[in-house]
Amino acid sequence: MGVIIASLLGSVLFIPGIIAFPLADSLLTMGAGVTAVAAFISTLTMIGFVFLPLEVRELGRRFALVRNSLSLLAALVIAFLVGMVL
Amino acid sequence: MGGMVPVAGRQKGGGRPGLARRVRARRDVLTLVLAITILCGLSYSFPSKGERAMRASWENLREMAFILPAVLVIMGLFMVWVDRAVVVRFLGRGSGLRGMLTCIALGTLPTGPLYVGFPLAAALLKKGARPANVLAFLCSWAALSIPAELMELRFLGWRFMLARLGFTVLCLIPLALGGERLLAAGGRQRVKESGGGLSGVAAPSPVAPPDPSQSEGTDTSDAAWDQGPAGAGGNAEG
Repeated sequence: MGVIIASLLGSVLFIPGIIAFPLADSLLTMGAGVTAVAAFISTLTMIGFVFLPLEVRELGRRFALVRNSLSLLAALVIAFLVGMVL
Repeated sequence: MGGMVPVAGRQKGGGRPGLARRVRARRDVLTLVLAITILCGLSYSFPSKGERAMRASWENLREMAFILPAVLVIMGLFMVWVDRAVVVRFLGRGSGLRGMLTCIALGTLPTGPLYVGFPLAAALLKKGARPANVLAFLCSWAALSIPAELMELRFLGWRFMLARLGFTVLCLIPLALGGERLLAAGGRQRVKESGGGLSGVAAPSPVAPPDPSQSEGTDTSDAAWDQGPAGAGGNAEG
């Protein structure tokens, strides 16, 4: 459940890495799960809901949709794998 | 959101009808005004958070103002100087695993946010790079850029970084290949249906069984974003 919330947040938010990584660190110290934090970072970096219109304009709607949906899937897979290892 | 403005300006020579461009520009300006209004309203109601929000907006704006023009210049030089044959040889259909690894390595090198990568990826596609490689390039740009990894190392430790890095690279290659198949299948579908629009997106599910719900789910919600004249995708697939 936390993983889903984290990945949704990560997809929608647009935070530069300088702020994102300290934020992830404080999430971890506050007791968030590793899987959720990994999902947050992966979706944050790979999926840009905010600049989706820009991506559609540059690369076409189909490319943008395929890339973003597959990125979401990959981010979840990565998060679970990271959670299993750590 | 301010990033829309320079990009709209860049497409001046794109051969798009002037009216559509003006409508787009007006929409971009409206969005910008709306965003600023919301920012002001929110920072008025939550003064403690307002300062941080202002600083983040300023950082983003500065980043965009400095990086994007430089990238557009580099991209212009790339379009003029780099021969199509070179791109096809190193990143095209026959480049195989080496081409994909090259793309992943290229993606880790530059700094800058993802939206800078979009025009570059479009240029690569136009020059004849394989779609899977372009997907790999964009994803590695997004998730694996070296400056970001240094930050991650500093704040989250080397174990977390190595785990996320390794699994990202592992997931990246199937993602790129699967994405290419989805794109190709949809392309054929579109030709058959002669502009099938949304129905064409759900169609490729038999090609890649693991994620039909994924592409359908995001599709319906995302479609609202693109209200502009259809045909933005035309140049990317040429």
